[in-house]
Parts: sequence; structure tokens; C-alpha cells
Amino acid sequence: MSAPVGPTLGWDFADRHLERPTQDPLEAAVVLEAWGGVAPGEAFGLTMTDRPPREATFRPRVVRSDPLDPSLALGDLGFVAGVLGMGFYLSTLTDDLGARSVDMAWRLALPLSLAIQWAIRRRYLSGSDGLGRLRNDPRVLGVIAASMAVCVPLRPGGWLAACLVGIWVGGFVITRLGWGLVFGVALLTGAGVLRAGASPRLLLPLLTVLALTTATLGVVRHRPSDRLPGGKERAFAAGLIGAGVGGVLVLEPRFLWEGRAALVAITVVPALLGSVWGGWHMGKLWKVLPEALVRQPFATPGGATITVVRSLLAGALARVVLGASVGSVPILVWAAGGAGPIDDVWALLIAHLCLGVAGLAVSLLEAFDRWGSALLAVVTGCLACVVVNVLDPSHDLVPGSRIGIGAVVVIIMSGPSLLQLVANPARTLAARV
Amino acid sequence: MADRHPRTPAVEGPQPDGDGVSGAGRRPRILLTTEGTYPFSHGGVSTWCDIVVNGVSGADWDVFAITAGGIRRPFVFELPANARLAGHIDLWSERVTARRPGRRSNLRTGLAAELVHGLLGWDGDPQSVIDGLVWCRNNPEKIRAALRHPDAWSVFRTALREVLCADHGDRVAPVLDEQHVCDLFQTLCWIAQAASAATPTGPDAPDLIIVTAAGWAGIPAVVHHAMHGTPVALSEHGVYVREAYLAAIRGGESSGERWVHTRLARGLARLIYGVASIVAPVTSANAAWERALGADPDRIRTIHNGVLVPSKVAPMPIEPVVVTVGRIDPLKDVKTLLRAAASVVERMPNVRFDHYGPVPEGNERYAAECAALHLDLGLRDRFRFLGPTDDPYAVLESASLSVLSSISEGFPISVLEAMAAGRPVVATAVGGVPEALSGCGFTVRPGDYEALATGVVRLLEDPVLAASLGARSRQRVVHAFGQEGCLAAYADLIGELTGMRPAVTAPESGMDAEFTVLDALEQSEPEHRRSAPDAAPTSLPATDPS
Repeated sequence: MSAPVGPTLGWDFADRHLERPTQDPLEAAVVLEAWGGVAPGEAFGLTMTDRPPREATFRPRVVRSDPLDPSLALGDLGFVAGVLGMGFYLSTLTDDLGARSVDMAWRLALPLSLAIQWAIRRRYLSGSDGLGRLRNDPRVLGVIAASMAVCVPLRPGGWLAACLVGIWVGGFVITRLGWGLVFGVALLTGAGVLRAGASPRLLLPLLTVLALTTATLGVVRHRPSDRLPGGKERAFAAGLIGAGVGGVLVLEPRFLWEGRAALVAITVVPALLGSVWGGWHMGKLWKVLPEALVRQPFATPGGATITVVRSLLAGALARVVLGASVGSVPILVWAAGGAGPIDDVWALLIAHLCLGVAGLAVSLLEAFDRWGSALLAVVTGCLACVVVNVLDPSHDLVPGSRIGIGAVVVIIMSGPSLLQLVANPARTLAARV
Repeated sequence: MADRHPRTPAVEGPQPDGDGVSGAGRRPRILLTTEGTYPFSHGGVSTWCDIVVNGVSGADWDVFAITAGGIRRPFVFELPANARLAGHIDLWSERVTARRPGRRSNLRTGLAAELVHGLLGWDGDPQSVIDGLVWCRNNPEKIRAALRHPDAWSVFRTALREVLCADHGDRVAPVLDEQHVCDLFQTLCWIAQAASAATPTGPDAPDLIIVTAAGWAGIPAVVHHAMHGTPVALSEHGVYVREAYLAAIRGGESSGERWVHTRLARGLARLIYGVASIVAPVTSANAAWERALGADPDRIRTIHNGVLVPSKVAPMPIEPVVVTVGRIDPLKDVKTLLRAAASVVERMPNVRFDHYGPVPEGNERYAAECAALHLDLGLRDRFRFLGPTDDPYAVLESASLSVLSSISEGFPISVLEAMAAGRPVVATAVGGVPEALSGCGFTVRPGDYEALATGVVRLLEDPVLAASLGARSRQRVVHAFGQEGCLAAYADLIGELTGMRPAVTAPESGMDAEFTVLDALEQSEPEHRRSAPDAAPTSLPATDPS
């Protein structure tokens, strides 16, 4: 067939078709072939002629990113309400089951639940269709059931630990389903029922079944995903990091539950509120960072990008502190009114705040696949708690001091890796593979 | 990965094959590397793989599949007894291979920079990256540490700056933003991961590696070749580089994205062309590209695709039906087909177009655009999207003719099948289409829907001409593009490179050896014209550019 373009018009034809300057001779040949009907050999002849290079101008691209889902924030708040609800259970449970049982259950269930939650989040829930990925793997239910089954025979409080694991893990999934508020209300209602005299041996298993069934049904009705789950190794590492964060919390020996159990649990809530707010803010990183990077031409000083990331991190930290501080006010007022020892309340609030910051730090590291650094930080934090326990066998330090020390160690250990991530955001993003 | 199928036992002693040629005493073992195709997806390359793996039954086939995106993928092709999936790596997924912690000594922190220079530089030497890729294979546990090292990032950026500043083939100097640079670095990380994937060694070591695309599929082959000296043959269907440019153009990519993607495709293709003992395009049209990209002309050997020829030609339908078989993909330019259909229907309202083909993953948006255009053009039931078909010959029985509107093709099997079914073809003159149709059909300029419509109308209005072209087409396939010949050519290639020519299972063609053009004419004649014995083929249309 005859070519629709003459030998000198090859480039012009390509430019016209593309409505922009043609990148190189190969692109011109492709255009001539695909849209000009020129045979390949002929197309090369028409485009290999020299053409003066042109300078391109930098025009920032528009980056498409998924908007943040506000229902998730509501769900997170629901989860906070759920934790608050559990706080109200504790004093009744301590009265009914004994301090040792509750203490044991708490120490066992918290790290285990956090481990499962972190692992589920990493393996299934990290993408946009995470619940669909979770739906594809019924083995998760088996893992939860096995974890609960391991707890049951332990004495004292094994069955309670199993229930707590079921409620917390189920609640975590329910929260991701967007039903966190309903979950929170259900737990608060349960607390009322318990105070009204219902048996915890009946109510806790009932709530466990309810939480797990709701979570399962919610996930099952979700559309299955074509995407494969994340790697097992990384999910396992995330689980260990979650367990480590829980470990810092439960290695505090002064969580003896006589009388003050609710106070101890309630003081977690402000830090949790702050963490949810800070974490939500930090989640914008995946939107803000690419937007900043596309605005920055290659090989120009990257100050703007670094500023963006630093501000985001500072904003997240500020929100953790602010959220925790504001949330602490009613508790302090309540404690000052004679409901609890004000010094202990102060100490616990500060300790939990430190742990909130530590949690933010390690979750950032984990999200950027620096799980080795995150794991090292939480393990060191746990070891610090153990060392303090050894050095202070008579528990002279204020309640929560181990948590505070452990959390500060975690923050210090995470610091260098975090600073490295912030110092070069482009590299941080690029080297996530 | 565990064997899905039992191995076919090696046959001792000389082994006669389908052509009566003796082998050298054992079955050749072939590593077939694929990229986004066999055995996980439908398409031309996958169909080719299926034909060759089943047809060259005297060889043991290890399939090494590269996919991307972390998507759950069931097999869509059942592997025969002489084949197994020997490896599968999924790029751009969260399931990364080789994450074992290792000692951090002797990290190759310049790896990314080496890849930039070798693969992206217009005048770069792709062969210079082989050392680095082999290092990845030998040190999979060190790849992440090497690429995450602060030096790796700075050296990489320096290399990229050098390549961008160098005198190169670009007529428009690309301007990259930092996000492009991040994406490129991640891509290079995945190249390193692909290089680190283990290929069979020891008793399972291949005698030959056949690479099915001159891109990512070549990476494991290049590394294996460098480490063990195993010969490599490239069977190129589309032209990898050309398709990368087309994807960049139709995707509306920014100049930076386009530069990165096309340069990388060019670098990988040149890397594989340099290593392959034989580059086997499916059409001589592709050979022009391969030569232009640096493949040694002496190593280029065109092996056309081949198809089974049905024993009978179904009579032409009374109602005019135009059939298209092909996936819904911008490369197939379905929009031009729809516009051509609208033009035909305007002139001949009783014509129906039946389109058979899947919507591949990622093309959902394009399919929706096509559906919207279908609605806008008011085609209603005059153009039907009927989804994929497993039996193209069955759907061709209902066809008066076949149409292809692609903007890029290798040597399209759908065209060969239409020809083998005795149906005339109107197609765009891209890739190997003119070579396939030579004198047997109408070819038009890509994108020219009016010309496409005119070709269709002309054949529908002149059944004698249509029957004549159909008969010639069938005859051409029988003589030049039969499956047996294609398989024999690959068996020859394998024999040449391994010293063991494998047996070929003769396809069940059912073709009569005495089959003639007149037989074809008789068989393909419309039912209502059977009584007109004087109907004879007319000369080819003057407008036929092929």
C-alpha cells in the first residue's frame, strides 16, 4: 500500500497525530505504522532523519489517589468507645472472678489480640479491597479460634482471655466494616447489663460469639477480591510488632485490679483517641507525598517534599498529644473529684500517651516495610520494662512508669529509622519494594 | 513449586518424530518463559504457547510465568503431561520472593545505577547489566539491602542524571519529576527481583530457553544463559518495544512516564536480542523492528504462526454476518470497528456484526467506552458483543466474512483461522496482516473506518468475490500457515539449538490432500447460490492494497 506521508513529513505526521512533539524516532515510527499505515521498514526510513532536539517544559501531573474514607474514622471512634466499654467491665469482672484472673486474662489477651490485629491488617486489609481479601481466606477464623483455644485451659482466667481475644479481634474487623460505632454501643450496653447483675460467665462468651459472628457475616457478605493476600513473613513480623506494643502495656506489674481496674482501662482511652486522630492524619501521607513529588522536577533541591512530610509527621504527633490531653481532662476532673488517686491517674495518662506516640512510630516504620527496625524497637522497649521490673522489685515507682519507660525506649529506638525516612521522602517511597 | 503434572519419562535411544527425523537419545527439556500470558491468560501468545507445548510433544516443557499485580490467577490452559509450571513470579505484588535476612557484606549498591546506564541510555550497552542480574540470582537475600542502601539511591540518581543529559535519541528531552524517579527505582527493584528468581538446574536444567516476549520474560532467561550457557531463542509475536510505545501513547502518559516505560522496554528488548541465538518473529514485518533495535539479521528467522485447518468449509450464511474474534483492547481498535459497522449498517441495514472476545483485566474502562460508543452509534442488535469463544471455527461458520481493525498485530491467529475457514477477511494493514492476506483479502489503513466499511460492503454485495477470496485464503493457509508446518519449524529450531529434534504430534487437520480452490469455492458458496454453477472467482479488487 502507498504511504500517506512523504519522506520528509514523517515527523510532522507523528507530531500532528500525537498533538505534541514526538519523543523519539521509534515513537514516530510507531505512529506512522499504527495510524499512517506505513510498513515498518519504510517507517524507519521516514523517521531516522535528524531533527533538532527540543526542550520540554516541566508541567506537574495530576495524581489520582483514593480519598480517605470518613466512615473509617467513625469506626475508629467506635472502637475507642468499645475500649471504654470494656473498661467498665473490669471492676465487675474483678469482683466476680478475682483480681488474678482478670490480671492474667489482660496480660494474655492484649498482646495476642494486637498481634492478630496487626497481622490481619498487614496481610489482608492494607489495600482498597482488603475485606474482600480477608473473605477469601477462611483460615483466619481458624487462627483466631486456635488462639482462643490456647488460652482457655490456662489458669486462672484463661477462658476470660479467650473471650477478650474474640471480642477485640472481632471488634477490630467490625470496625473495618464501618460498624465500629454499633460495636461500641453494644459493648457499653453489655457493661450496663453486667452492672445490673448479669453473670460475666454468660455475658462475655455471648459477646464473644456476637462479635465474631458479626465480623464473619460482615466479611462473608463482602465481595471476594481477586487480589492475593500480602506475604506471610511480613504479616508475621507485623504480628510480632503488635504483640510487642501490647507487651509494653502488660509488663507493667502494678496493674492489679483490686478496685481500680476501671480507672486503669479508662486512662488508656485518651491516648487511644489521640492515636486514632494522629494515625488518621498520618494516613494522608499516601496522598500528600505523591502530590508533593510530582510537583518537584528531578534533580532540583527537594526541600518542599521534605517539609511536607515533616509537617505531616509533626501534625500527627501534635494530634496524638492534643487528643490525649483533651481526652484526659474529664478523667482528671473525675479523679480530682475523689474517684481515684490523682497522682496515679496523671502517671497513667502520661504513660499511655507515650505509648500512643510509640505506637505511631512503629506503625509508620512497619507501613514503610522497615519492620526490622520496628521489631527491634518494641523488643527493646519490652526488655526495658523487664529491666525496670528487676531493678524495682518492690514496685516503688509510680503506676505506669514501666509503660512510660518502655514507650520512651521504643520512641528512641525508632527515632533514627524514622528520621531517615523523613529526611529523604522520595527514597523512602521508592525503596518500599 | 510442586509438579502439577507427572513428568513424561525420557525416552532412551533414537526417537522418531512426526517427520521421521531421529532424535539424539533423550527428550530435550525446554524452559518456556512467559509474561502475563500462558498459562494464566487468554490471548494470541497464550494460544501459541498452548499449540507448541502440546504439539511439540517430544520435548519436556518447564513453564516459567511472570505475572504482575498480586492478582489471584487460576490456570486458563491445562498443561499437558509433558509440561509443568516450573516457576511463577508475581511482580508489583506484596508477595516478594527472597526476603531471607542475609549478611550485609559485599552489597552491590551500584545495581540500580548499572541498570539505568545499561537499559535506559540510548547508547547504553544492555549486555553490561548481565553481571548485575547474575549477582541478584546469586545473592537474592542481599537485593533489598543493596537497593535500600543510601549509596544506592544517590548513585542511581547520578546515573539517571547522566543518561538524561547524554546525547541520546530523544528529540524532546524528557523532564522527569521525583515521582517518576521513584517509580523507575521501584521498577528496577522488580527487575532485580525477577533476575533473582530461580530457574531449574541440576537434572531439571533446560537444554534450551524459549522466551515468548522480548521484555520481562527474558530476564530469567538472560541470567540462566549467563550462568549455564544454555542457548536462548526468542519467539516474538508482537514487537515488545512497539507495543510499549503504543501503550504509552494510548494511555496518555506524561512525557516522563512515557520515556521511562519505552526506554526500559527498548533496553530489555535489546538485552534479549543480544543474548538470543535465534530471534524468531512470527512475521517478517516484525523483523524490520528487530533489526532496527540491534538484533543480528543473521539470527533472525521468521516462523509464521500456524493453525489447524478444518476439514470442511461451512456454507456461507444467507443473512450477512460479519464476525470479529479478538479481545476488547485499544490495540484492537474496537472503536474503529464500531464506526465501520455503523457505516456498513447505514448502507446495508440487514448486516449483523458479531464480536467474540474477552475484556482483559485492566481494559474495563475501554470496554465501557466501547459500549457507550455502541449506544451512541445506535447499533443495537446490529452489533453484538458475545464474549470469548473457545471454538472460533464454530463461530466462523455463521460468518459471511471476518474483520480485523487492529492498530498493531504480530501474525494474528484470528485472521489465519478465518482464512482457514474459507472466509474472506477485511483487515487493517498492520504487522504481519498484509503478509498473511497477500492477495487473499482486503487491507486498509489502520483507523480508517470508512475504508473498512467499504471493504465489508463490497464483499457482502459480491458473494462470488467473497467466495473466491475465501477459497484463496483457505488454500494459502493450507500451503503456508498450517499448524503442522509451524510445529515442524519449532521442532527444527529446538533440534538445531539442542542437537535433539523433538517429536511433533501431528495435528488432526482432516484436510483432504487433493483439496483445491474449486473445492473450497464449492463448499463456501452461499446456500442460495449453490444452483449457480457458473459462479467463478473474479479478479481481486483493484483497491486491495495488499
